[in-house]
Amino acid sequence: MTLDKTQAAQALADIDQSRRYSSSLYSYGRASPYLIIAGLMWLVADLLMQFSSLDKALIWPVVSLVGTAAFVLLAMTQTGKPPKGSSPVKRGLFWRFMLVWLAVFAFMVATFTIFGLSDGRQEHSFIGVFFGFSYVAVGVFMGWRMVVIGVALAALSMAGFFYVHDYYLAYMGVVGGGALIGSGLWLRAA
Amino acid sequence: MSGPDEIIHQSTRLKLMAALRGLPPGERVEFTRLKAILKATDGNLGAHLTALEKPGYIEVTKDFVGKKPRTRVAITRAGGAAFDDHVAYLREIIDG
Repeated sequence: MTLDKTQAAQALADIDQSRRYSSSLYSYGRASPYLIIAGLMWLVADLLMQFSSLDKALIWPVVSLVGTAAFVLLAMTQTGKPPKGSSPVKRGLFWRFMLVWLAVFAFMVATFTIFGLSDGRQEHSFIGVFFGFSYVAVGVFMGWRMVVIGVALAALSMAGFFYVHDYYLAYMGVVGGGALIGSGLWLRAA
Repeated sequence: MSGPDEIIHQSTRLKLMAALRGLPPGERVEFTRLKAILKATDGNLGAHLTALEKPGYIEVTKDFVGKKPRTRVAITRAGGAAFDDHVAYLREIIDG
């Protein structure tokens, strides 16, 4: 069997398309449960902050701890024992996830300290915008759905900061958390 | 110039191998997801998987999630090497 240049070019184009499509679906499947957990954390914490009589200073730390535990369990599940004959690339992936999470947390603390943010609205909106644009950046490599999610999250966070006043926390919980949960389900269905 | 891999060269199998090669090493893909990627029927995909499994290019594992049967597919090292050789052959043709 011999191939001419046109057939070879067509085969390479098919390979490229299949690879990219498969890679996007894989990334969507991986990201989906993280988005759902983050969305639930956001929704629950902000609704409690807005409407409950619990100690407000404890709500986000407690929800963050529970959410982080869920992330850890999920990462352990996703980076479980590699199949027979696979390379050891997956080993250490769990710790990389944890380091990224820690780096993001440290970045937030450093930013709030430098800019002296003490108003919950500023912090909330900043976090929404930060994650929104992070998703856009990740989406450039992973697939267009992440870009759409990121733009929506950043835009809704900015809109909340400027236009929502009385029920700002409830708005951010429903809109931000809801957007992440919906996005996670959307990616899962891809 | 090395020759084409007669097993991988067939269009659906080529796309199937590309889809598997696009994932992190050792990662498995579910049958249903492969079907969606390749737009293939159950029977068609099953036949191509058998053709690739025979020479050891892929590994097919079957298990249950609850009561639901699940079939997953992963590319093997031999399959990855054969696929890379085939891609190199295609590039050589293009480069003349």
